[in-house]
Amino acid sequence: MIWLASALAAPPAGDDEPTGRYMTAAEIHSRVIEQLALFGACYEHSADARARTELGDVYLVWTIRSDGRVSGARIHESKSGLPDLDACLVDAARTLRFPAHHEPEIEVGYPLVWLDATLQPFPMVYVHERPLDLLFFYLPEDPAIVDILKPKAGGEK
Amino acid sequence: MGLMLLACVPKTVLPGSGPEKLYEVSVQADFDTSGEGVDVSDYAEQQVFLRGRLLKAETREFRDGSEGHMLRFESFEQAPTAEGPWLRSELSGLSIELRVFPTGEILRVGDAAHIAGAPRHGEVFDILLPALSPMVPAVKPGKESWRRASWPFEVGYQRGWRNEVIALYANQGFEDSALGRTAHLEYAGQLSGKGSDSRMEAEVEVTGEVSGAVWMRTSDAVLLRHELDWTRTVSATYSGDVTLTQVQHFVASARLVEEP
Repeated sequence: MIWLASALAAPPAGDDEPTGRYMTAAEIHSRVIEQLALFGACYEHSADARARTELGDVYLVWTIRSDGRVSGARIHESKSGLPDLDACLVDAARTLRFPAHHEPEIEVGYPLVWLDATLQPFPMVYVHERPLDLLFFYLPEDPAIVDILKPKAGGEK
Repeated sequence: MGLMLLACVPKTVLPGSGPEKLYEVSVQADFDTSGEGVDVSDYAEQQVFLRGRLLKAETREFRDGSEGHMLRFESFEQAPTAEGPWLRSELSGLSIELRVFPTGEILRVGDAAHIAGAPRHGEVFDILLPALSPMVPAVKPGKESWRRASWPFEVGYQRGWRNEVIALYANQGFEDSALGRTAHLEYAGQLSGKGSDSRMEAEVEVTGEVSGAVWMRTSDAVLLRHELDWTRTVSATYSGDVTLTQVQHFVASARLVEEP
């Protein structure tokens, strides 16, 4: 599993995308921010959450299908201590909508940060990228092969 | 410097508005793989058949005269034998952009990472790119001319390769077809290339041989048909002196089947 952070510094979608149907991490982030109120509503409607100005982060993951709808939403890690809030956030993630795109699916991770009684926009999303470890060869991503070919830590041969 | 930068700016963005061409493509590929320091005996000999349609559409023009061509893999299927069973290829439904000069020279492959790597293997089947965008010299019937063509395929910083074909083209004469009068050229030559993969700390060398035939429409230099038989030997050296070598043999054809 390779999760790569995409900072806001990533190039904006559109200008250099003639195929126009691949979503960049920056575009996914932008769409999440636009729909952040869906998650904010969970905090507003949870009495326990509303009563506190600060809560532990809730790291959500979901899959964006090629039609732009979300599936597989779940909690990857929660430090909220509020199961009802976590369940509401998962339900909210399921209602997120994204543009249709070419990839069969895109796995996304996003941390929700409740601070100063406000849901703070996190500056990036985490997109699960395909490993692409065995370029140039018609070979499967066989871990037994990839592990041998990968550079060893500390220059170990 | 300013002029160089200016040349990179797209002049016009014409999403989906350019003339579209649909090519029917079939590939028979044989892969012989060996390794030193790594056991690849499970994949020593592989064969795959690929078929589908490639939609080629002009999307934009650049100030240097180059054009953006969307290339969309439509209804691509693959099978372990010529008889099947045919299963949907992971390339199906994906698109890339070729930035090309009107001569066919490929400057850049956009969105390449989306088609690269297992199980899509777009960087291996990159031979389809020059197959659909061949650089064919202007040569009179009965005459011959050399032409060099190279194409890049990059999925990230220092992750990709560039292959090059230097071939002698011989004009076999003009032929009439349902899609117009064509010039029929046959070619044969050498393939070479270099690449790297910074993530895997790998260096790649490519050698090979190519031969084939193209039918170009004389009125507008549009490719009507391309039959090719290309072999390339890909050798990569990884850290720890581990090496992988794969002989990739392609017998492929592309044929224009539809245009506005």
